[in-house]
Amino acid sequence: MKTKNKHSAKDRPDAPKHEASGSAVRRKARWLTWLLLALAVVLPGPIVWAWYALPPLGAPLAVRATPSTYPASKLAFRKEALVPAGKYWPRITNVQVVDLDADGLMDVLYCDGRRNGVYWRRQTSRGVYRERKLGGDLDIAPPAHATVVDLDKDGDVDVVVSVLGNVSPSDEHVGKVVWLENDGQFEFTTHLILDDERRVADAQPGDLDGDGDVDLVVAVFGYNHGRILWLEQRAAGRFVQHELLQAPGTIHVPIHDYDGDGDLDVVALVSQDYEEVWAFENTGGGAFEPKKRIISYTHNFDVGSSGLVKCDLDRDGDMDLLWTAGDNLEIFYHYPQPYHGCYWLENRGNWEFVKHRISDLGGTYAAAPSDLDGDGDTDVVLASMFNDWNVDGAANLVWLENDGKQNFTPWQIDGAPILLATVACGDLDGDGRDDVVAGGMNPFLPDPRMGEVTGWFSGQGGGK
Amino acid sequence: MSPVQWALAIVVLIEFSAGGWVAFSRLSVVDFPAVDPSRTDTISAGDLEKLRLESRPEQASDWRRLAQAYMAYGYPAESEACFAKSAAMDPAEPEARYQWAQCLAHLGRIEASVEQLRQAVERKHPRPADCWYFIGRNYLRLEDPARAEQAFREAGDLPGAQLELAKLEIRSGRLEAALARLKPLQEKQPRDTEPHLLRARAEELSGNAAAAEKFYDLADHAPDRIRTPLDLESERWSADRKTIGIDQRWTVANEMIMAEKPGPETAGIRNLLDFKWNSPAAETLVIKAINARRLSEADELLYELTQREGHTLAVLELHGDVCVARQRPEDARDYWERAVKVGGVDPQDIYKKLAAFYQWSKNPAKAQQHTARDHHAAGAQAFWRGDYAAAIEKLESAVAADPGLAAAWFYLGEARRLSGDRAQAYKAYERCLLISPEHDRARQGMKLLKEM
Repeated sequence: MKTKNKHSAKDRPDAPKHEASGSAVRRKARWLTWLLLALAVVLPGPIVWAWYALPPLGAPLAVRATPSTYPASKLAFRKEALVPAGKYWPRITNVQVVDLDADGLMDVLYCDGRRNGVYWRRQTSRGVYRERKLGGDLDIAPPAHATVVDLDKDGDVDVVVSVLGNVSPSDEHVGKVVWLENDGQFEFTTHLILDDERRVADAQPGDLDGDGDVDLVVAVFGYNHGRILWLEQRAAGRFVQHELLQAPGTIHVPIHDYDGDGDLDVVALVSQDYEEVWAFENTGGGAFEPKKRIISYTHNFDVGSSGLVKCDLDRDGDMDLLWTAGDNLEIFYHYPQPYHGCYWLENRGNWEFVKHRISDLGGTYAAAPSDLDGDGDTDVVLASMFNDWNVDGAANLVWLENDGKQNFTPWQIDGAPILLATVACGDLDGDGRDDVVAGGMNPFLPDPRMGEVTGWFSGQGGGK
Repeated sequence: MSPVQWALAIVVLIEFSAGGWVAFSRLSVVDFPAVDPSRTDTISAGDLEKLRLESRPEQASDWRRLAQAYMAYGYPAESEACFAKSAAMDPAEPEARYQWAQCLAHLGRIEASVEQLRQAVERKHPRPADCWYFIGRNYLRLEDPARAEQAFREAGDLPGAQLELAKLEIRSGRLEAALARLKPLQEKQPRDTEPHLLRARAEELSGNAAAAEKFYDLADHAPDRIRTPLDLESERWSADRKTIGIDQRWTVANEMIMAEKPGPETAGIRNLLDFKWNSPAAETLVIKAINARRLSEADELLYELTQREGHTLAVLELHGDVCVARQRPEDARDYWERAVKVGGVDPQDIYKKLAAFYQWSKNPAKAQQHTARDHHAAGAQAFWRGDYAAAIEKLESAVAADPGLAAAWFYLGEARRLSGDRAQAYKAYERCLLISPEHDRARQGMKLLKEM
């Protein structure tokens, strides 16, 4: 074996070298095989890991939001929290700028659905306010609207409060109308005018039967059930009910002599499933024309009517109406809709009202007419409750500049606080220009951009 | 290279290619949109982000799941983008189209919503009538009653669609058609208010005042409303919310509250209130704290409840309950008296407590008064539920306890009238008017009795 081996080696002189290189090749080949095998086995792991664990590296999907925004107001305003936001969500249901004590200084009257009361922010001297709850410790849970009127005709102003009883949709008989009677020294005694009703949204005063005392028209909003009543005052504080309409969802019932025949008529905004503006023509002595009129409506039962304000917008001597639309409260989260905004119902006489759309502000919840720029025509301030609050800069407050021919240009006053439910105008600081006051209502959003009652005070700029 | 090596090399090459493809696809795949966490509570924001990170953009179902979660927590624009992607990836799926359509409608993109609803019908959505109902609603939102009417007709005999058709017919003066549509609907769904109300309106416009009055009366007393696909949608949103975020936590917490688990769980529930306030849960926690004699905890919760809700009936009742636990019954009485002045839903318990207080304080007349009010409140509730037999029983107890309670006589009259007992109803109205001559509703009830 040894010889044979030697011999074979002699026969191939290069054999050792070859043998060495052959084994190297074999080693390499083996190494390559192992490497390839290892790669083949190992690679699927990272690939599968990458497939499952790597986050997608492409751009996020584009999102299309459509908030209502407008050019910044050409009038300057100084914002001030009149009632600062606290820890808890605000529920201001109504604000008004009124001179309740007739001292020449405008005050702020507001309804607070969280603290369950009507609050009077009395301006005691220019810029100095003292606040008190009307009616002492009286709980009004929750008030929807306060109306200032001398209900008993004793020479001082009283306050009539519409009580919802429940902010949430409900048909429970929890609504009321409460009269806060002023003793002349602004101490108020409570009287219940209407009880055991569904949720009451509005009560407006006027001498409907022409007997010299003040009657009331009441909007019982309810939920699935509701109605409109007029309460005839027979003796001081004693009222007899008359039903004008049975329908759910009446929000506001502004009273005026709309047909110019010398007596007071009633119009009503009926929302919910109907979205109609009704007129009840007084034929004298509180007798209402049996044939009721719908003076304006929309087929869009989702329009979200939110308010009806009387105002002679074109200053032609008859009373027009501002109809706001933007209420989405029946759904969880709310979004501005293309049909939201403000509609002017122009009174053309003989109960003909022509509808003009004057704003497309998403989620419009309230309107206040005012000659904000002091140019002699009536502008309109709008507050939004349901703009797209996920987008910073969405408008919460807008004023519509009237060019004198009822062509309106929108100007954005602000973007916060969000969720404004009510707005009013009046010259609080006595500079001859109206200021704007708005109240916030937040039933659902955990958002820091909240406000209770906020004022926007007119400054320099604009005007003619 | 040996054949084995060649084979392995090919395998490795394929794997590298696959790796490259994976890398490329991850590089190019469209990511889920993130939402602004500051617009919701921190628990929900955390859950949404977790869901986003766990979701696979290659899977249509994940896009849809995220879309539902975003919609449920108030991010409709982001939700819509996800629904659109889901539908693009799984074009045959009808439910995704349907939900996308709802989202589009929510965003005010009405024509697009109609298109997706049509696509859902084409793809054999299991509830085509619901799709047509929403198509009709969308056309109404576009002020196109003609096309809305067509869509509602496609919805067949869906009660919600029938109702919309009747409304459109009344609006356009087709009163006969509306009446023909409403009559069977009234028979089929007598407890629902809308068919009666629309019938009343149609009768009134037809000049039939007596019939109108009858149906207005029926509408006023009908305790329910017609269920529409909108209600189903609302329920679906609620259900979606309960699967994630703060509402999922509250669902679990409410189960614990119902199971009356004491101890540390209660503390966990208390913490949840800081993320999202829940008044009924807070009220229950106050009651538990009172029962367990943890009165400082009850005070703390009650303070917050009062700050958030104001002095409502329920809150004032709890203040009274705390006073009782502190052996201050007179203070409790003051709170309860204040509560019944405020008024509200379900005052019976407070009347019971006041009756018990006055019994204890040796004032049986006042105790009797409050017992009567308790029966009256229970009777009125039964009446508005449409349970006239129960209402009559309770109201008879109320007037027996306090014959001067005009409101109880009125409701007794109403319940007897609607049960067909005319003679007894008349007597009850009479008693009401004797006590309260200006009770207009009693007078109206008598008028309706005479017309029966």
